[in-house]
Amino acid sequence: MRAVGHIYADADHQREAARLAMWLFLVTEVLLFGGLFLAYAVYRWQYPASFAAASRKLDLWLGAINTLVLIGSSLTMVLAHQAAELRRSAALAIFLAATILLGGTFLGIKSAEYAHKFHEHLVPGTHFVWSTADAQGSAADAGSAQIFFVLYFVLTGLHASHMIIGMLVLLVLLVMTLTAAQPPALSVELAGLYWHFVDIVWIFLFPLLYLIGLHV
Amino acid sequence: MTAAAHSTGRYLLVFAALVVLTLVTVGAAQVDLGGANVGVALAIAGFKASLVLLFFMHASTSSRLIWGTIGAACLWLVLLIGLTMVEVATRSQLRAAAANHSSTHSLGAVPPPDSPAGGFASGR
Repeated sequence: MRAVGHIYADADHQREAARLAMWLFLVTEVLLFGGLFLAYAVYRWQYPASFAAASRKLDLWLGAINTLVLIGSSLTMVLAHQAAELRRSAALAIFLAATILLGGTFLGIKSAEYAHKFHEHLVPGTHFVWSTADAQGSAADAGSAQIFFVLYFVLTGLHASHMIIGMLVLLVLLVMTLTAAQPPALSVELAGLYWHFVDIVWIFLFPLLYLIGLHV
Repeated sequence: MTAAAHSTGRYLLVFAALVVLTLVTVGAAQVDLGGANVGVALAIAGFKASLVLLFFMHASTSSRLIWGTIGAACLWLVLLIGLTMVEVATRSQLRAAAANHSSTHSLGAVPPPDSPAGGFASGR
């Protein structure tokens, strides 16, 4: 452990301050995503039929598989934290690499979904196409279906960018583990807090985006 | 966390619970519960998030200061979404009530807004 800053009583005090700072950052993240979840709630209240019809356009199984992939990455992340606490460098490297790999798997599946949406003209904008057959006899119209896809791309895009940032942080920790001295356990713990937060965001995104279309 | 050394079994158990709950929520979405489908999905998601928060993020062994911080985030989220949705959900009722009120108590003096004979625009 590095030297304790003079404003702290001891090393535990310093670690607790770092944890608190990370949690405060996560609070601001909750409010960032919270605003978008609010936009989703307001528009879904207004256009329930359109949101259901648009949601049926998403691949439920790809969404479910990605949920399992992300939960798996949270497991490897917490095991990496445990390995860092126990100062087991080999295990730390393996679990960090596994977490990055699972994150990459998630993003790979996500980008395949995005490509499919471009192919089907479901990306909001001038090329958006919504046929009456898509509505399946409900009151869904192109304008409000497009609102669903705006929220889909903004929410999943913001989530994916958080994952990319998280993977870069984990990559730095992995390189530190493999080359120089093992990173402080606290660094792995704080990176883990961020990673698990991103997992929690997806836990709510999955049902709200993929599952609401089956029964309104 | 000093307790990390003996926690592998617990982490695997939490992981298994999260996998099962993911399958449960996909299954529940196939059953028509009417308006309750969203409520069930959100309840399961909330339970899954709590598991991640308590065990993977170690909230269960965190200080009261950190519990307060988590509580503040939840409180503001509830205020943000809860209060806004109360307004959105009752908006049409309020509008109907206001329209009803003006037609019964103003002796019919208020014309519809787009009436050509009514209001201050008639002098033009």
